[in-house]
Amino acid sequence: MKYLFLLIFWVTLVSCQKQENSPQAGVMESVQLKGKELGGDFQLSSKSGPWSLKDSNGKLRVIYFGFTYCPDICPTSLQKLSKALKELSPAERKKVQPVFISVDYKRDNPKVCQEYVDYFFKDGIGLSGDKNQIDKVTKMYGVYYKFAEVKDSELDYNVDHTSRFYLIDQKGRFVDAFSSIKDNPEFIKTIKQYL
Amino acid sequence: MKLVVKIFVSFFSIILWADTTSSPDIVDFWIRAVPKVSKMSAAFGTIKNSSEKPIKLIKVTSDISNTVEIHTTKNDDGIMKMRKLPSLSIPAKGESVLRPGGNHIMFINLKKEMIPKKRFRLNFEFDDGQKISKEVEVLQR
Repeated sequence: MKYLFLLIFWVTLVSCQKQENSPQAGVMESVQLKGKELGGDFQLSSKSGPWSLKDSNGKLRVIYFGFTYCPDICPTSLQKLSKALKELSPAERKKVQPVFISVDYKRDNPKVCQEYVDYFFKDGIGLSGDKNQIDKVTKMYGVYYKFAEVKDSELDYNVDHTSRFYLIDQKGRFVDAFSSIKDNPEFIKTIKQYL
Repeated sequence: MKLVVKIFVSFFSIILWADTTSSPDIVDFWIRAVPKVSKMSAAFGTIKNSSEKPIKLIKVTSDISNTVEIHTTKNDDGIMKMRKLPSLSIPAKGESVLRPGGNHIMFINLKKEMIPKKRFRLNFEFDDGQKISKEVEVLQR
């Protein structure tokens, strides 16, 4: 009888665990864009006025292209970046600057972008630009973005976009791009190599 | 005879245990904390269905935003695309997990600030007529 109770308990336990251990979301593979001559200087607008990449030369930049109306991917990505950069020592961290560029030139502006990036980093820069500026910089960095209609939604539109972290060295040269930085030691390793 | 009674009691207690587990069950739900300037946020978690029939989540309401919709994000060859879902299916004796980068409850035009540790009520409506109200915490994840 004791064994029957144990068997029932075990079956119940196993069935509960089975439900909890559902498969995790697929981890995106790191994209390697080396050798495609990506990157280069660009000019966009910050809260304090025009901003170019060379204005922040001297620091290693981590650039992320997104938009502030993004409810899922962009805040998740910036949160991951904020977490990842905490793996650096305070001295190392001071040599790195996060840069957020909004591709949503219709709705975002420099002030909004700066307020958005301030939530994740003390030293981040939020940038936006007009259509020509955004088209130019996204082409230079191999970023895809498209205003897409969301059928039957109250949203005016969503922005389909690539989600990558671009590492730019102290002289403004493209180093590497990562689509996944969570639990990816290569990301911090690469940053440390260039500090 | 004693053995038969014990078997009956143990199975009966399992049936009772199953009945006390509400179906559908809203588990581990959280709302994403977002910058004050953000007009959008999302909620994630698990919806469990312990019944013998599949069910569909057809609507979520809340007073935290003007509109609440069920959305999904898909990684289409490296391009992140978000689209509205008409409903979300939860299989019989199964579950549907809403997670960042996948299915989520989308809050459009926030009326309240999503500050960590604040709690807001979300109302889930299913195609079988069931309505479940759940208080959900805002987390910075």
